[in-house]
Order: sequence, then structure tokens, then C-alpha cells
Amino acid sequence: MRFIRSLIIATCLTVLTVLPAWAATQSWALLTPMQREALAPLAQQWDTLPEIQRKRLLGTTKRYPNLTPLQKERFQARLTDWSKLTPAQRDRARETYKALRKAPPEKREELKKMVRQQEQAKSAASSPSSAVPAATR
Amino acid sequence: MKNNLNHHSIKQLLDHSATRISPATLAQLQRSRVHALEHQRLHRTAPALAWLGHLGSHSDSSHTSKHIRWAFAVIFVACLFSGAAYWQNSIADRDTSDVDIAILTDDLPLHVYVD
Repeated sequence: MRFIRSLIIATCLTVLTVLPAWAATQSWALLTPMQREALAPLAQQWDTLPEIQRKRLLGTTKRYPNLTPLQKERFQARLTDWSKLTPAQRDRARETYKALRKAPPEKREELKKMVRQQEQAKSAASSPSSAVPAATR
Repeated sequence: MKNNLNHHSIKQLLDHSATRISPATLAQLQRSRVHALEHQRLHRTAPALAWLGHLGSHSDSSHTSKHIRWAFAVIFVACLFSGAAYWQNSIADRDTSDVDIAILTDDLPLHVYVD
């Protein structure tokens, strides 16, 4: 009986002491080198970002080492724009992504083609002398 | 004959009777009263003292230790619920992070998902 009581008290104390410590590890100074590399574009504003956003961005860095160089490049290029979105916009983007993932591959390919054409048209309009199409990011 | 008994007359009768009680009986009554009052005082303080006393002991017989067991059970259930909520929240966060990284590394540009 005494052992069980001690066990319960120890568990509660551990939970109460570990959770705040875990929250404190989210400041930029305490990030791992890998996390800093992945989130480098946000280094300046990291400590001012809302806690929930930092937590989610830290979640994305878990898969960062497994990304291809092209994916890493895209990730870092989009990170700043992503962090500037409002929570509602990010939620909408997630919903759209989930909906598109469920769409048939041919529909998805069609959309990609359409986006590529739009990008090319935009690029041609901004620099008429350049014939090189813009790479899709 | 009409017997008029009001409380004034009852009081007078009782006072008259009390004056006829022997000093020995009065002393006995006084001792009994003091004893009864002390007994009552002990009854009032006993549970609080018993609770303090049983905090560090193993006695399970008292109803106080039953309260302590209940308190621990409530704390345990609260911890269990917090843990479950935290775990569920972690899963939701992990799913969101998976979607986020997929958007951030996808072939399609960001504005496709936002607009």
C-alpha cells in the first residue's frame, strides 16, 4: 500500500516537473543543430512565434533529415511564407492538402500541369526577354 | 378541584425540591456533569487527532484512511486522464506536423493550398 502511494506521488511529481521543462526546450538557443539547420530561415523571429506554431514546426523537423536535397530546398524556401500565414489560413491549407491527397492521381497531375502553365505565364509576363520557364517550387 | 399548574409554579416546585437534595447527591451530580462534558469534548476532537495520527501509519481500519485512499484514487485518475489527453494531443500534433511537412515539400507551390 505504501509502495503504491509512493509510486503515485512520484508519477505525479515527474509529470509536473517534466512538462514545464519540455516546454522550455522550445527556445531557439536550446534547439538541436539539426533543428536549427531546418528552421534557419526563422532564426530571427523564432522566439516570438506562438508556442503552438513552434511546437508544430519542431514536429516537422523530425522528418527533415530524411528529405531529399530538393525537398529540403523547398522546405526552407516556403518556411518564411508559411510562418506568416494566419492559423486559419494554415488550417485551410491543411484541409486543401488532405482533399487533394484523396483526389485521383490524374486529377492531381492535371492540377500540377495547370499550375506549371500559370507559373510559366507569370514568369513570361514579368520578364518577356527570358524564355526560361520558372521552376515549380 | 382545579389544579392550576403554569410554568412559574412548576419552577417554584423544582427549586423547592432542589433545595431539599443532600449535599452528597449534589456533589455526585456535579461530578457526573463535569465527566459528561469532558467526554463530549473528547469526542469532538478525536477524529481530527486520529486523522493526523493515521497519516503516517499503516492502519486501514479508520474511516480517515479510507478518505486518504479516495484522495489518492482521485489523484491517480486525474493523472491518468491528463496522460491520456496529453497522448491524444501528441498524436494530433504529429498528424498536423506530417501534413505541414508534406505541404512544405510538395510539388505544388504553397499558394495552391492557401488560395
